[in-house]
Amino acid sequence: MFRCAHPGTSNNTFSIFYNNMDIQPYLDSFPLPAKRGILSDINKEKTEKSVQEAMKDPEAVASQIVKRLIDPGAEGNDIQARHLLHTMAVRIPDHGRKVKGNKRAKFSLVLAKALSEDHPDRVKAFVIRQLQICGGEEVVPLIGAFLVVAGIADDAAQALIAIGKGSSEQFRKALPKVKNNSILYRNVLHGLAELADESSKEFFLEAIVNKDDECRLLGLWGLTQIGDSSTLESFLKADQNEKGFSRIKAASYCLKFAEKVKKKDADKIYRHLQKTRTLPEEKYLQQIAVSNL
Amino acid sequence: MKSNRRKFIKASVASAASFQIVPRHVIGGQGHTPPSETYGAALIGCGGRGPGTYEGMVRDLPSKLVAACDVQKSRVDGYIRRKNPEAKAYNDFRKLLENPDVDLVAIATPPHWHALISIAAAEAGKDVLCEKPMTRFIAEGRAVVEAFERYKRVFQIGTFGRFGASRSRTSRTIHKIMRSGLLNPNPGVHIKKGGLKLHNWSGKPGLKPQIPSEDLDWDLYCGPSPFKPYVSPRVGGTHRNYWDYEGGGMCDMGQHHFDPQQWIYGKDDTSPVTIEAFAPPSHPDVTGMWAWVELTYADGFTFVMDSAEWGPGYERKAAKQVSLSQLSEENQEKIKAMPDPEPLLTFGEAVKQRKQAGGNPEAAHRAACLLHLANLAIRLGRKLQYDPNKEQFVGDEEANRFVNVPMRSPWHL
Repeated sequence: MFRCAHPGTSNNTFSIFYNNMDIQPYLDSFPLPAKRGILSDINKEKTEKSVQEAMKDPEAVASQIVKRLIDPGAEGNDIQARHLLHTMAVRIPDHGRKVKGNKRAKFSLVLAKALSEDHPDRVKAFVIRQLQICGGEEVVPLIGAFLVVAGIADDAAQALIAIGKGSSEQFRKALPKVKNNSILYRNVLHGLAELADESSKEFFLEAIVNKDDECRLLGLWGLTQIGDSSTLESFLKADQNEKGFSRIKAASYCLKFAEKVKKKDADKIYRHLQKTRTLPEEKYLQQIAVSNL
Repeated sequence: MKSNRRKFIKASVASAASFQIVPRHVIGGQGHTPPSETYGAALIGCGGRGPGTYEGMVRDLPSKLVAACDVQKSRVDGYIRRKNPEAKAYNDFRKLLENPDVDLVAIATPPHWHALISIAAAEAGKDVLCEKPMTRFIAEGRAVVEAFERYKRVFQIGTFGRFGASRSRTSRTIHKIMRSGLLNPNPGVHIKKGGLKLHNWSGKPGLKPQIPSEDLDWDLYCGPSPFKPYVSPRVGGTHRNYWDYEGGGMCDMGQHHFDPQQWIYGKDDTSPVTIEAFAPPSHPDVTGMWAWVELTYADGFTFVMDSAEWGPGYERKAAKQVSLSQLSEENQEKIKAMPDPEPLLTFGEAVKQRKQAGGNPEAAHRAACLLHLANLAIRLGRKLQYDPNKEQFVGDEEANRFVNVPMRSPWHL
């Protein structure tokens, strides 16, 4: 089994603190696969009661559940543990809105700090996916540390994009560290573009002249997302060099860019499309450009 | 979300029945089929429903299969061998969409690819017939609507019940009553009892990872969804049982049932405002059990899904059909004086006339939303308030994370 140490600082204080809690009764109320391997024997009353009990001390329960998670290829099963942890992650935001003490943030921090413990990568990915549901700004740096870890970086990126607030900074910090790894680099560019991070203009401008097709497209998309007219010249110049599907995609970014800027700049984009999309199979793009002028 | 979404939705609906653009094959030119000849057609996703979806697309159109694509090489090769050995085989849909001979694209991949491929096809100037359910989450549907509006391409969802419904006199009358707004509050309750295949399309959790066959591009199969260890039920019809790709029997069968009902009840351009479910906690990976879901629109009209396969039956409201008798005599006369709705165009008619099809993007998206909203009420375990204009949950930031689920790089809407 491949294990990966947390790239940030280790902190096991939480797990030691919560070591004595017995969560087995909660887990037992969740079903194991019944006939045909599905969870058809689930009992709403029993599971809801367990969740209610678990929500009385969600941090302690979370800390214990994480220890029950196993690598998908390992002996045994963690079906009930995953089910309970996910249920808590899904419900803690609403619970947190009804009780005092910012339960959601505390629960999320326990999960995020568990990422520094010695767990298999796929367990960490699962925990990060629960943070995608319930985490807030408080867990962003702890997830951000995984943007440089192959195999978990895409899970981390998706969680950060979902959380939004404070996430751009994590992507920007990771970018210089992943430039030599095209998969991680694309992942970071994608995050910055998805978040429409205006501070990443230079990163996108750099990406649009990259040798890698995907990087160039992500750069064009990033510039489209921020819709800054000052980048338009570089954007249109890069668009002209694309071929095949990238050319189709680049044209779509042109149209979206045009929808975000003032008429004068939009017209510039439409005229550019009119001038450059001259292949017979591109007549539909000519028509769209003309109809928008 | 764009600030002008409400305006955009309004404009999309208004233009759905009226847009006109000359297609590439009418223009003709090098590499293009003139109208007197045949349409170049393609299938993306050659397993299971694929061949049927393709035949549904070309039913009324002179056409020829010119290309097919599947992430599993043996499947696309087998399909082409049977259908037209001269057609080109692809494993990556992006390469197929570069092909200028392709005018029409049938999409029969698992639903986590439906929106992205539909959008890319529109961007490549193709018309699309896409299998149901239209999408995996709500924001995908809005992006499809915007793309087909932007590119003026034809889209038809792969379910056709609304065409029959729109020919029924009773259904047309209900449609007119609903669209008139004269019945407010609206007492109508439509209950779908059973038929949503809970047990058939529930997943098996905890399976041990396997090695995918050599001719399956597992990375491309996962695409925008999380990259998870391969287990065989994730591919093939049982993909329905995973939240990563679809939404169980609710999504698989739901669009068939609710797409025509949505037309009958005049809700093609809106969505419910409250959604409540009776269901046990949902598993993170696989679809499972639920008892019922109640979805109520702003005017009071209610759709109910009663699984009839697990838990208590739905008893809150009785089914109630909307009818003329619920209106005053004066309003009944107004309804009778209203013209019938425009006949819905089939995909073939829409392609020929360059108008939008009956199962157009906005309507298909709203029908898919019913299923996504229902599944989210099941998965989140709380009553949800939804704004059908902003397409966001009200006061529930975490629920909104399920409206627009981040995709795996490099995929995005």
